[in-house]
This record gives sequence, C-alpha cells and structure tokens, in this order.
Amino acid sequence: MSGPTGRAGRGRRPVGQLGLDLLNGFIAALQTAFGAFVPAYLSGQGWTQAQIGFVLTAETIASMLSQVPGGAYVDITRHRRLVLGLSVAGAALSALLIAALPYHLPVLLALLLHAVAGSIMSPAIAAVTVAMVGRRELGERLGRNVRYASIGSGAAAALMGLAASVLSERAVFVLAVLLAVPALWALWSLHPRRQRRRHGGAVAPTDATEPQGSVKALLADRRMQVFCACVTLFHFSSAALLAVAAAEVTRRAGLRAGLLIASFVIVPQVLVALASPLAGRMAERIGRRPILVLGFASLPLRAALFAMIDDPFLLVPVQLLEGVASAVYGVMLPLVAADLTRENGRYTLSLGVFGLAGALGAALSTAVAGVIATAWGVKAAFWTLAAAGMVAVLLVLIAMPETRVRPPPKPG
Amino acid sequence: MLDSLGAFLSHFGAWPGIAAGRGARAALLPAVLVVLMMVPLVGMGLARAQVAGAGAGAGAGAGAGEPEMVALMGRRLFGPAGEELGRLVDMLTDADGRPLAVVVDVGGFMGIGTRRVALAWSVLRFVREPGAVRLAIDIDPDRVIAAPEYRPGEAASIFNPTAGR
Repeated sequence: MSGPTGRAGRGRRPVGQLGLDLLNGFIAALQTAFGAFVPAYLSGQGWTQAQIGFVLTAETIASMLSQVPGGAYVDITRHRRLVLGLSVAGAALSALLIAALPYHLPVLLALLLHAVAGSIMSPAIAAVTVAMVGRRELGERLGRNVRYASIGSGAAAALMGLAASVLSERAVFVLAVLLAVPALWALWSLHPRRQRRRHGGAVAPTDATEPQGSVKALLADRRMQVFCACVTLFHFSSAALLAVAAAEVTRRAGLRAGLLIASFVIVPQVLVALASPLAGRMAERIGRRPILVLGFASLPLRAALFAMIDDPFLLVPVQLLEGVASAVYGVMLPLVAADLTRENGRYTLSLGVFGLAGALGAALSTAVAGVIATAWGVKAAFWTLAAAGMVAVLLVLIAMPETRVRPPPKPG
Repeated sequence: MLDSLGAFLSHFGAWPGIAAGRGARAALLPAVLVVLMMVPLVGMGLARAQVAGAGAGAGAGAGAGEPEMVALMGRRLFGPAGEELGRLVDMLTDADGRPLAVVVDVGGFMGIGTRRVALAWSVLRFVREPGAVRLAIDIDPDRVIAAPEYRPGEAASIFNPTAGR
C-alpha cells in the first residue's frame, strides 16, 4: 500500500490493490483449465489412458523439477513483473497449443511449458506482492491474493464447465488463452510509475529485495527445515482426501454424486474467498503460530470425520474444514517464507523449495492413499491421512517458532 | 528493433533506477526460443490434421453398402434416458479377439471422483442417429456407476448384469 502506513493510510484503497486483485483472479482462472479439463479433453480426442497418464506424469515431474530453479530465477532477475508477464504468456501459449494441436508431441511440450511457467508464476506473484505492499501489512494483502485466486478459479470452473458441455472441451482452452489478456492488463496496471502518478507516494520499502544471503545458510536454517516438513505433511494429509472420498461418494450415489462432489469443491472455495484476508490480518495481529495451528489442526479433524461419517450429505459441511486449511495455508506459506527470508532476500527461492516439498507430499499422498484404499478400504486410507495430519499439527506445535517480527515500538 | 521491443516490454518490469534494455533482452531470449520451437510443432500438427481430414473425408464419403466406422476411444456413453454417463477409455477382448467389455470412466464432477468400470460388451447398444452413432446402455445408470472398480486382468471385475440368463 503506497503512502503513509498506519491508521491514516488505512482508509484509502489505492488502485494498485485492485490491479493485484484482478491479476490473482485472472491468473487463477487461466490455470483452472489445466486442472480438470486436460484429461477429459485428451480423452475426447481419442488419447489412450496410458498416453494421457504419461503426459500428466511428465508435467508433474517437470513441475517438481522446476520449482526450485523457477524460484531461484525470480529471485535473481530484476524484472519480476516482466518475468511474470512472460510466464502468463507462456501458460496462454500452452493452452493455445493444446487447443490447436491435440497430438502427442505438441501436448507434451505444451504441458512441460505450462509446468515451467507455473513454477515461475507463483513465486513471481508473491514477490510482486511484497514489493508493492512491503512487510507491514503483508498478511492481509496475501489473504486478498488468496481470496481473488479462489474467486477467479471458482468462476472459471463454472464458466469452463459450461463451455465444455455447451461447446466442446477445446473451448475451455481457448477461454484460457483469452483470460491471459485481462491478466496481463492487470499486470500492466501495476507499473510503479503509474502507481505514483495515481496517489503520489513512494512504494513502501522492503527489507531485502535482492538476494544477498548464502543459499546454504538458508537451507541450514532449522526454521526452514521444520516448515518444509510441515508443508510436506500438510499436503500428504490433505491432497488425496477429496479424490478418495469422491470416488466413494460416486459409488454410493450414482448419478447424483456429481452435485455432491461439486459441493465438496465449492464449499471450501467460498470459505477461502471469505476468510483469507481475515487469516492474514490475524497472522499479523496475534502471530503466525496460532493461525498455523488452527489451519493444521483442521486436517486430522477433517480426515477423521470423513472416516467416521457415512452419509455423504453430512460431509459437505465437513468440507468447511478444508476451507479453513486452504485459507490458512494459502496465506501462511508466502507469509512465513517472507518472514524467514527477511535478512537474506531469497524469498522466491524459499517459495520454490516449499513448492517442491508440497508437491512431493501431494504425490506421496495420492500414491499411498490409493494403495491403502485398494488394499484395506477407504476408511483405512482416511485414518492414515488423519494420522499424518496429527503428526503435522504436533510438528507445528512443538518445533515451529513464531516468525513474526514485531516492529520496534515508536519512541515517545 | 529488439531495442525498442525491449524498451516497450520494460514497462512491465522496470524497477526504479534500473536500466531495462539489456536485461529485457536477456529475459526475451527464452521467449524467443519457445516461439521458435513452435514452428516445427505447428508444421507437424498441420500435416497431421491434413491426414486426419483426408481419412474422415474418405469415411464420410463411403456409399451405401460400405461398413461405417465407429471410433470407440474417448466416445461418450449414454444412459437409457439420454444422460451422459462417461467416456470409453479402453476395450477388452479375449485372446481370440472377440470383444469382451469396454472400460468406461463414469460419474464424478469435472474429473473428481470418476470411477473406472468395465461393462460387458453385450450391455452396449449402438444407436443409429442421423449422422452419428451413439453408444448407450439400457440398464440403470446407478448400477453401472456403483459397479466394482475395474481391475486390469481380472475378468470378475467386468460388470455383466445379463450374465447367467
């Protein structure tokens, strides 16, 4: 937020906030095409399951491999907005390729391009956010990022689902390409010279924008290691839950399951959209740890409830817990990373490391839960995820320190 | 030309006090490489599309008496009331090539919660419609969606409600 911080400045809503809101929203919307619609589209184009599985696995691996290099690149580049713009363009190009050339090699390359673009996009958005608002009210601003990302992806999912059934799955990817235009326009509107012209204040200073500490020291920082483990456990405990539960709901409810599963997805998204800025504000006011504990605690609770409750309709309100976890995670990850890299400035590198840790946790979650569900049943899988969630909560409670830095009290 | 392009693009990324020209050019290089990569891909894709188009044209032009061709993979499957159940993802035959079953991804919402079931070949109905052939089944969709999950190699996982008659 430009201009004076503190009470006097809080009432104003600079246009830069809107630009950042829209940027997050449209980028999330663009990314929605790549989640659910790629397998369906390729299936409709006559791809075999083996071929689809191959390109999706290749994309996942590429994404994991590019997390850390992507984060490192965003750190050392001095043109973070340009790089962000290029990565959005890259994602749009990827969607264009998929829509225009649904054949093996183009789709494979498109998905690889998308993976790399995504690894650059996420940290770049965080870096641009920190540069825009500084560290004083970072929590709330990050909460707004998460809010608008949730709104963007929710609206896009609805729109793209409609386009897929009314037009064709290909239309989804054309839509994704079109969404890049407002995203890039929103990015353009964040140019500092235009900001200053609008409300005449300098951008708030940050602690260290350029990387200066040693990478080894960063990785040896115990807080980094603990938080990495927390991130991995978070994803391990959470990622596979919905997939396993949804398959079970489909088995029980048949055709009506579609609506139920849609509710499973929508309820947390709504909660995230509503509560994320609040989570960010609380993290600034009362500290990171309480919010982290709250978010992490909802994981084992949710998994346990899924294991204990049979009626799928009752599971819909349980998904509120996923909303809590997602809101907390979405805000706290970039916030804690900013805290931990305050001195050494390697912010997006740490985001890349956490991204890799999370991706590994998610992959493990899917694999392990799948095996357990097949061998010992769905409830066993849920209890396993709940146990992992408990470990995560305990780790946060015992080993994760408070990372908030209280500003020194003003003299007089 | 690259200079003015760099200057234009520097509006996206010029941090205060930092000259953008050279840096923007450096950031542009990967973008140029990506675009260059696309040229052979587009060429390949166009060639492929031409072949596919020729094939489809030959099929559509087949006169009466020639067998129609129905491509199965990725085709949608419909229930008795016309509701969409899912998509065909595989086909199973016995060792002599006689069709045994089709494997279908059914149910769920936008890919979440879809189940993979194998339906016996006898359950399929090929419904002729003007200009197309529709794959359908006559049995209750909920039974299909609740059928046991398809396990490759296990004949018992093929759902066949008409067996034993």
